[in-house]
Amino acid sequence: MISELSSFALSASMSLVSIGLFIMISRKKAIMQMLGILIMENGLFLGAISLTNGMPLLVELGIFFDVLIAVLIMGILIFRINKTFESIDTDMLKNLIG
Amino acid sequence: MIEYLLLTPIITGILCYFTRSRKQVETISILGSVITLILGLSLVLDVYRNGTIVTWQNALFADAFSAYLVLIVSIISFVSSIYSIGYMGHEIEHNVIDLRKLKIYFVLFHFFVFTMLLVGVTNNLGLWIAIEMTTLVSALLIIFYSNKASVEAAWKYVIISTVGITFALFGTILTYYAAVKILGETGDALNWTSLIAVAGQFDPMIMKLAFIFILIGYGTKAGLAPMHTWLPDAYSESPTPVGALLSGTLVNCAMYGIIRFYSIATKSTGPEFTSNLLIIFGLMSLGIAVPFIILQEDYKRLLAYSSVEHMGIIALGIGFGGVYGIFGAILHMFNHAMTKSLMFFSVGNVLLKYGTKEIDKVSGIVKTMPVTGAILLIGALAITGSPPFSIFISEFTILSAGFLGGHIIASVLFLLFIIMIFAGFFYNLTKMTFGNPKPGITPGEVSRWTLGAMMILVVFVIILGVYIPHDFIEMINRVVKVVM
Repeated sequence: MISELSSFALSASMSLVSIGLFIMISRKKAIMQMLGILIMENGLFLGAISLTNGMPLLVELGIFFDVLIAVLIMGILIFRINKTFESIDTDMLKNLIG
Repeated sequence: MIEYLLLTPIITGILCYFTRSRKQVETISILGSVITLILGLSLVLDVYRNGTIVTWQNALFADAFSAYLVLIVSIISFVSSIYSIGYMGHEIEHNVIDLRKLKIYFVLFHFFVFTMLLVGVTNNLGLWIAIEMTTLVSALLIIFYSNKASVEAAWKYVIISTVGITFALFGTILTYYAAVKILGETGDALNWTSLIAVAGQFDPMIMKLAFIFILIGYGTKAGLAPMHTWLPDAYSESPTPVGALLSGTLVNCAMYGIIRFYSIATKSTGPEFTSNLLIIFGLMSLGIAVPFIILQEDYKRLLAYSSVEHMGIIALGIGFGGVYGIFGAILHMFNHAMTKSLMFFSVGNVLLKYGTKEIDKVSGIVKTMPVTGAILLIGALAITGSPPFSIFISEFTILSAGFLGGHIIASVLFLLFIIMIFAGFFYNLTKMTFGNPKPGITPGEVSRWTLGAMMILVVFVIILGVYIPHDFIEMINRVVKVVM
């Protein structure tokens, strides 16, 4: 069922997901963590297309809508972090432990 | 019916935004949640009498399990909105927030209820969309006070949950891939109703992979250890009524996702694989909760770790399997929602009165607030699983399922952990409830609204411990049939 091209696409998508995760753990700026999530989502969409020719339309639209809102809300949060901590370095976010 | 149930919280939320005074916004909010409760209960009755409902070109549906989740969400959101009036009223009177913030709070509150109801009634693996929406709306509620701690909590919550949910999406894609091979590329290939009928023919290898991703993904949202790290932060920094909603219903929504996939995956991989994974994660959640509960300094975080523990117990119940295990787990979802919300409401009163979240700085609650103190003690006894309260029944059922199923080591560890949690819980709570209050704290309850909300929940906690109505048992039996 999986053609040669789509198996290449699948491995590319898995590496995108891993790259996204790596960016999230290795960068300290809050905005880079958001980008990491977007890279992971991109990888997943590539995976979905290569495995199954895409999800049903309703689901696909819903996921796009969710990712859009997620980025908006993360934008708001980064704005708030910048306002309260006067930097977007996530090293500052270390007060809640235990 | 389902459409109206979903529309009511949205319309209420929008109306709340266009109000002019505190009185108006409170009236609209309470009216909206009463209507949501009535519609939710009538949906439950309808499903109970007439079986599964499917509408909107198969997009929305309600079977016994969805109806059960809708029941939990509508009850908790109703009491929570009553409690919000007392709690937020106190905050307004003490100039912590202004009218604009109050309106935004109620708008987000009702949107949050909408997303959780949507989780229950989606006939689709697009359940993912609804669960991601709950994350986004609740993040805005967690950041409500916009101080340093709440900003940190909201950021951690959004990042950890979104990454977790992304893994769940991958699990969903894999399930779809397995389904497409059997059903062909139709729009229906993601619907529960069509999936569950052919689940036995799915490729076991793909379903194993899918279930692992789903368990990690939705497990992050449900607060299973070791993905629970966002949970104590989010619970302790959000406004208390929101904490009650998060712990009572949101984690149940995520658990609902896991259990749905469990029933699909088990049909193709056999029970061994899925049960073992759930038992391991369940025991891990119980074990991690123990030291954090014993050495806790913040009473809201104490409750949060207790939520991690109870999610572990539900996972264990499903993992032990059999009719008893699943019955116990499903009943535990309801009991935990009621009891944990009750606990959050009572510590919310304590927070308003004493103005601190530290356990060491609070003492003599029974002297300053007799009713809240008594309810706090009842809730603590109930949440740690002592008879005759409701959680005892469900924990006992799960435990007997464990011994019946031959999971001796897991059951003994389960017992040990809940004994240690009992000790830790009471070590901390007796310091708070008894003793003499510090000077400068005037005796008296915070508000009648908050007490009213707590009374409703106390009824559930006590009654279900001694007597479970026949219809309720029958309802849970139908849910068990859906899951197995």
